[in-house]
Amino acid sequence: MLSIPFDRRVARGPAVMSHEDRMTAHGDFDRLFEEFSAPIYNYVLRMIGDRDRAADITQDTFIKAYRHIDSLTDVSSTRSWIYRIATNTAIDDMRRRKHLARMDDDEHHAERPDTAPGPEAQVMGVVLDERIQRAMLLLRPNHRQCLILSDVEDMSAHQIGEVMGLSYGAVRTLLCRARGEMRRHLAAEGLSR
Amino acid sequence: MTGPIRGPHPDELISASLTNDLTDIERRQLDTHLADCATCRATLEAFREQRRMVGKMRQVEPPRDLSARVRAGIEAGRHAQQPWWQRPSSLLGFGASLATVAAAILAVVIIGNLRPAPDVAVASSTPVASIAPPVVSAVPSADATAPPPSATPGPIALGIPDYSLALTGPSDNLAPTVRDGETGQTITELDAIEGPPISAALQPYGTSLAYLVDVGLSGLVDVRVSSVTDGKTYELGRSAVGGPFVEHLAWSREGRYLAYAIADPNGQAGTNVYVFDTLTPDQPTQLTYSGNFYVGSWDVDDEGELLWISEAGAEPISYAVRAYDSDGLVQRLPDGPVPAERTAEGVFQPLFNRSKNAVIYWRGVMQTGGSEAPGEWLFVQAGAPYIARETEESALSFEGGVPLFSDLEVADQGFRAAAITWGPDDRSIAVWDANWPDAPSLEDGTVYPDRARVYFGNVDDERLLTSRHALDQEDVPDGARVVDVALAATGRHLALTVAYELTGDLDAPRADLLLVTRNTGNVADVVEPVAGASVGGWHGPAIYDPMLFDLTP
Repeated sequence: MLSIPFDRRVARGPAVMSHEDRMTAHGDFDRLFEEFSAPIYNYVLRMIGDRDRAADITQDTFIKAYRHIDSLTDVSSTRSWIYRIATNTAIDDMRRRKHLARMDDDEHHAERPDTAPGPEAQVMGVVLDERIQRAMLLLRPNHRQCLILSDVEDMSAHQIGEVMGLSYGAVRTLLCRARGEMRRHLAAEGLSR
Repeated sequence: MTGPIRGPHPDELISASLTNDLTDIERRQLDTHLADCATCRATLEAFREQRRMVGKMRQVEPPRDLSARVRAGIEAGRHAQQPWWQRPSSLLGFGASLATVAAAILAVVIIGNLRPAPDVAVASSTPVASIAPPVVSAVPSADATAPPPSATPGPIALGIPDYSLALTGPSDNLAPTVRDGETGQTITELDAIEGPPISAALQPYGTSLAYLVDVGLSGLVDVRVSSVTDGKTYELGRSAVGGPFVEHLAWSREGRYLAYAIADPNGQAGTNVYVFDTLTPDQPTQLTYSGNFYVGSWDVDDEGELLWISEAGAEPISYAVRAYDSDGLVQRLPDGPVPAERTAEGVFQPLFNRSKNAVIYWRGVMQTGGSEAPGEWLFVQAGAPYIARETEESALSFEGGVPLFSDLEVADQGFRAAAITWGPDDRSIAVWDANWPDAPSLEDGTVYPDRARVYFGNVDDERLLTSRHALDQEDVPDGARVVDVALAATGRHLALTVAYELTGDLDAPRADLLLVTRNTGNVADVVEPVAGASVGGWHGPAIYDPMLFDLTP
């Protein structure tokens, strides 16, 4: 668990922030970025399946984190907090693209995952990864999210609930559905019974 | 044995066991079950292997310029509110002046206010008719263009306003399919049915689907439950076609039980309440026998779940009963007085919302339907739906109810019946198939309530439902009738199943599934047929999956 000592003096706002306070806050943010930029990028990449969009969303996530750092009142929740920002940013992106796709009368094409092996698969360079990723992109967005948070990020149901804004019971149910759905997609890829 | 496990196979417990999210009791239950169930052992192994595979996926390095991009983004936001002459010509480090930090915070607020929000964020809690509304007779109605009162923030964190499940079939394909509304992907194919599905209710945990099927032109309806995951289907009974009062499916809050009504096709046994237990799926239990009982909704008190059932009669009465014993076994009610935990006189078919802070129910005088609907109980005098809401000052009580249609005066006749549904946001409501013979005419000559239209509103709207809350007439194609309505948690989106009249004996039943985005003021609703609907066949009904939304208080 992250132990970055966010200085709550930041929360008092700029009017009372000393030069020393600001330096502490910026140091904290640097450490936040260092520790979470790669995991968040990978989380979003698994969610979106597109490297460029994942980079954009990760960038937006950390800009929002910087601006709203004063909303983080519990340091022990840092991990959930940054993943939640990333989740909401990714969802906003998906909604926006869905809306644009409809405006373009594109039959929702843009919101659907591209299931063909693409540049992303080439970057990963591993056939197995490619097939798993392909199966994952067929999941519903919220199923995909909770499965990644559980099986890649190793979060508990409580932590996933904090990230996704769901109750403990809802997360357990959602995870069960996600695993069932993923099992079928993996079977179609010849990776599960 | 530590107690029964919900559902035939406890997939949820198996899934939760992978992350140690089980209580001690659940762990023991699961271990006991696994010892005897090869299917679940295979599921556990498959889930474990899946978790291992997903967890071992290679990590990808983020772009090298990510740090610089974040830095640039922060700087851009920080200086966005400054006059251009005060902006620095080059990017700074993370250190900033007090003024620029303040500007960055301000920018978030302004941008947040100006940016076009996604559909769900602008959803009005009070849909307003977009056509020039007629004026209703006795009670003056409010201005349809008035701003909606106290919009309730929808619990929309993750859900995308698309239907989640669409049951489709038959006509050319007698095996209906359950499809994902967002991707159109088939989730599962169900066993063949003898006619079109006309309504559906998803079990709260989303693993089973209850639905009604019109059995051709026979005047009969089949009640069925299918597993969403593997399509396994149970036939729960065959009923005479009834009105909305009969065709009501109620899953218990934990999803183990389904309550439904069967109207005896021969007419002799009348209408009675049955309960289907997912743990003993081959033997639904007939709860009542007197032939005039209907299903309301499930409730809960300190001792557990209660089922509200309603006894039709000149003066209807509703009872909250323990439908199952401490072992979870459903018990038929004894002959004689109903052993009720609560009784509500004059109340028929109470429909609680999920949060149990509001209830819609009927009042009026009932009779069996006569030649129009033999054996079916309908309202014949002063029939109307009412709504009671919990307030800060008062608890939920049937005595505190008010007419759901606030601009209708119900005197002699009133409604015979109507179909009513709650949205998963617990605030949206819709009424359709409003059966009111000789309904009053409005000034423009149209009747109100109109059986062909859908009335859509929000319980936080002081007006509740009025003639102005009818969906646009153009939302439903000419010659089509609304078979089913599903509401999204956005408070603004509906899925209508609309069926077309058969024009010949050889015609196959045909229905379209229409996704409606309700607009306010003079802006027409947006209606989008589900892809594939235009080629014929039967599409619908749809369900907005409540699990997409967090309704936990």
